[in-house]
Amino acid sequence: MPRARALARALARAVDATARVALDGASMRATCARTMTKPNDARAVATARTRARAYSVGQMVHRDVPEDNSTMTWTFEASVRPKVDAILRRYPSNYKRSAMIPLLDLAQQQNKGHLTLAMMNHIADVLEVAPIRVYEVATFYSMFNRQKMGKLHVMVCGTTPCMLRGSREIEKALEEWMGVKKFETTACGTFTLGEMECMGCCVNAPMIAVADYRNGVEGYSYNYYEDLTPQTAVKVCEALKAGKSPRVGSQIRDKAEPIKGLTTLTGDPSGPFSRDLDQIKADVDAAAAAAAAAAAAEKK
Amino acid sequence: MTRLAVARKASREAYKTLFGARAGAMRAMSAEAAPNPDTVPVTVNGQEVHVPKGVTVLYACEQAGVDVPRFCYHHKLSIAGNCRMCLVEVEKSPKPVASCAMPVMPGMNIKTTTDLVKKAREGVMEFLLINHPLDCPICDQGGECELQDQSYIFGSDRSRFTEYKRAVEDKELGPLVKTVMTRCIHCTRCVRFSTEIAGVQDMGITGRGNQAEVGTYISKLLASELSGNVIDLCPVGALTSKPFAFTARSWELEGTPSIDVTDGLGSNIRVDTRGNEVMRIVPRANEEVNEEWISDKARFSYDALKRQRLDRPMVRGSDGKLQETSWEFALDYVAEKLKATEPDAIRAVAGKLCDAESMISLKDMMNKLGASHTTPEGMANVSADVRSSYLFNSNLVGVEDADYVLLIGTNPRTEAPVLNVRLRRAVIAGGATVTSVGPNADLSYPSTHLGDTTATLEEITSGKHAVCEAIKAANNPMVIVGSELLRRADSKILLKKIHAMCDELGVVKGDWNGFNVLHDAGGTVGALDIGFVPGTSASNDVPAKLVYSLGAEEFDAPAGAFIVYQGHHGAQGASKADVILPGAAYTEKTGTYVNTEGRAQVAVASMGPVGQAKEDWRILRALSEFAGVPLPYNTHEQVHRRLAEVAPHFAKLNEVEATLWMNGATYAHEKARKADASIPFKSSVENFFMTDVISKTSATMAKCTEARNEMNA
Amino acid sequence: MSKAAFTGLKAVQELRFHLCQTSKGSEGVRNFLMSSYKTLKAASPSTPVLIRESSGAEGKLYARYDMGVEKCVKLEGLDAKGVEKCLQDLVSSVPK
Repeated sequence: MPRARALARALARAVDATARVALDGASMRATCARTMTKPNDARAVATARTRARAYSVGQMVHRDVPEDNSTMTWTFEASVRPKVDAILRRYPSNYKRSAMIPLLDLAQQQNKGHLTLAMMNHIADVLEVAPIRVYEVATFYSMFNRQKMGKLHVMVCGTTPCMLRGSREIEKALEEWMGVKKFETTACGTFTLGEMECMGCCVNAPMIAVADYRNGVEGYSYNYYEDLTPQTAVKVCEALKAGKSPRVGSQIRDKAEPIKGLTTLTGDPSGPFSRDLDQIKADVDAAAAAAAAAAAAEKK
Repeated sequence: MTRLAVARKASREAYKTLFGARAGAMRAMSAEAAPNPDTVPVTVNGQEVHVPKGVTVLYACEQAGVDVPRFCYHHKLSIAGNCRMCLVEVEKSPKPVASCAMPVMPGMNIKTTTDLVKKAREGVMEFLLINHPLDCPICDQGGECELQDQSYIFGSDRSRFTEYKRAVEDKELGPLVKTVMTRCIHCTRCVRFSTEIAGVQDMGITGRGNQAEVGTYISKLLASELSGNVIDLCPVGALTSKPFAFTARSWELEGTPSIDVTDGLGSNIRVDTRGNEVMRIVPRANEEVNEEWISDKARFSYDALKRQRLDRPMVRGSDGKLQETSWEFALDYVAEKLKATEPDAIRAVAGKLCDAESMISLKDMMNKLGASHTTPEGMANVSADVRSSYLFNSNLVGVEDADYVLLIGTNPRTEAPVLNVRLRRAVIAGGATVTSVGPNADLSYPSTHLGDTTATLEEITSGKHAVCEAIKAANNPMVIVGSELLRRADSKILLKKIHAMCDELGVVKGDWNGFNVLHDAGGTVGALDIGFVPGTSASNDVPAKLVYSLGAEEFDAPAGAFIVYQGHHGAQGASKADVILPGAAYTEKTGTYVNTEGRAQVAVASMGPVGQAKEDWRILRALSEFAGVPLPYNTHEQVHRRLAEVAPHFAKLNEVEATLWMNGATYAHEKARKADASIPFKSSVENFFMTDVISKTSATMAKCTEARNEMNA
Repeated sequence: MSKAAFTGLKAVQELRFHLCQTSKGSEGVRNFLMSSYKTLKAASPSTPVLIRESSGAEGKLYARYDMGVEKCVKLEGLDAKGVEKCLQDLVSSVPK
């Protein structure tokens, strides 16, 4: 069959081409031309930018800037120290470094969401470890912000369930309303728009999490706002900006129950119901008394 | 014992047999003799081997003679298990196992030649090469690169990668270590070395996944005296030697086994030369001396071998300027002066970098002339009678058995960085306590500083100090005395008290001799061993009229004395000289150096002396001829035989002798005097990078000094 | 073995003892040194008495006189008294 033969020949050529790709410059260029997208394609630019960010260098090294350098010092505020001690008491005294992540989080809360070198050095002192060990942990976790943040960190969940329910539109709406792109901070310093992995509210997708750094450690909150639409997402942020406290959790339902109303658990549960233990005890006692009486009667 | 400690001990035993003289015989013996009950039988590729309990599968494969590729595993570092290159198949295991981390079970059946293992290795290699830049042509590691070698032997022969590779910023680690972090494969050997061996916790791995970067996070100098060893450890070209960058390829170099003289440990090195030029110095493994490490000074001061060299005989004319002359004239001139000077006014000083052959030649010639005033540089007050009074008696390996260490007037971190590694291991892994009377320094492990005055030492030696109880209670207490203490005028009194203390507090008991002297240069012990000390008739009453300096930079010479300097660098000593006889540096002559333990080791010459310079003992042999007192040896073997005649341990190279402890008789005849309380105990090393004439002339060492000063400023 | 026995030591420039740390043949040398080193040094503190041990070495005594002349006496198998006698012989027979 000519089609099968053509297919076979094409297959052979493809195999041949792959085999030759490392050795023959011309075919290598041809392969690259096939796989690389044209440079002016809009989608190519977008993917190139994200890809560039994925391959970019320099995020995991520290650069001294006037507001964050190795000459500065920092300590936990006096009001926060009891919390620090409470955390340290959870761990054995020779394993102080187990407290590293909670302390870094606490420090971040105190410093408006920004983890600086001075803070990491202070924590290294508190935990009696070398500073590099703290740097390693702080750079490993993306929730530790080593850049200046806005007062409110708005994180949009972008994982599959939320994406299917429109997280991209939420993101776009917030980008438009705030006037920044993802990962940027607004000029007034109020919001930083970010993204987060799945936060477990998939039933109430799409959702955002907002870390509130306006009131230090005592006033720190990390709240989810779920069941959003592009409009309600913007409304939530407007409310936060105005200093109000918008509804936390789902914006339209109580918890994660079906929107149109319960389809199960609509009435009281059927049996079996628990036994009346008092009645049973009474019955047992009565039976025992009767048996004792019968035995006594027999003896006579 | 922890798994790591077992593996380390087993590895140490293994290396003793592997590198010992009877290696082959011992291995054959173990194969045929009845298996040791402490071992378990393991099968590797059908061959049964018996290995100690608790060792890793990788160790078992090595014992069976099977090569297992690896990147992150190193027998001196903790096990990381992150490269996955050592995967082997173990029967009954559902997945291949990382042999570097898996302990053996009795009866394990290990296979390394199956398809599964082959595919695993090819796969791991493919992953490692994904982000590895195509730098081989410009990478210094090419030719000695573990990635190249293992890719060639174990990897696939073709690539299918058409994506983008990631790039990483280069880090600034100082003037010694060049970094190209794009090449880094994140094996974390350098991180583990800095943390565990060097004790300087500066390196780490920040970020994760594709963004992971090995570095110091902040721009920080890798401030350890052992920083150059990460260059050997790094399996790829991410960390390379900055002074050596782009100068030579490894296959052009000829390696010659030699001994380092910049400190007293006698670290075994290999001098790589290309033609008549020393290109670099790398360590040789010797489990008993320097394990696998050498200090930065040993590694990087070779550039001084090309600078400020004395390469022609010179004589100071009547105008006070040095003029080039011929060997015949110079030797004749010196011989005339020697014959004309009364023997009591002749002094000979042996430099601290001299080899034993040249020192015995000088001593013999001086003695034949009737002169007996011979002293090692700086060690005029040291008695050479009893070897145990000036050697590291516990031996370097014995440090790991110590449970209490008292440092007196020494900073082992700067004086002998490789010994400090052993001390660190004793403290961290062995739980030893270290206290120090002397300089208050950061030793890279916790230690207690007791003070730096003779008063503190007095308290300890008289038994009144709190630490005396701890020393008495310890099983293997050690005392380490620094060489600066030996240079003091009151050294004999202090040593007498320390010796008495050692006897009283049980520092020396039974088989254990815990009294140790740490020398800071390669030639001092050799001088003391051959008896290069003043003879009976030598006295300081007659002022010196002729001083013969064999490479010594610091020596007493009254004004008007005739100074002969025989050495290799034109520095302090040569500038005072009336006659300069150019000698050979330690890489240019075959010489015997005795390390601080009393181990005589031979450094083979890797090239000839520069210019018109000659080997030092030959110069002295020729001079002796001119002076009418010809020395009875003409070949190197004959000199060596003379050395064995003077001290029998020179006939047994590379071995340590157990020393006799004279139980306080050593200094019994010294009259009791008060120690000089005005001078505190200092270390002999002020600037680690510049301690002897070679390191002081090195440009690389100057850069290091500058970098350190900047860091400390 | 009093100090007086070794007064002649001042004529010798240097003494060298070779011995083995454990062998029977060097036992005499070891005993002699353990007991008499102190006295030797007291008799002539400025004379180097070099003690050089090496496992398997034969017991020997070298005396170095003026002008580099050296004499050697074998001490293998001698006892401490024999060693002392050899030493005194070497010390008294200073070559002219």
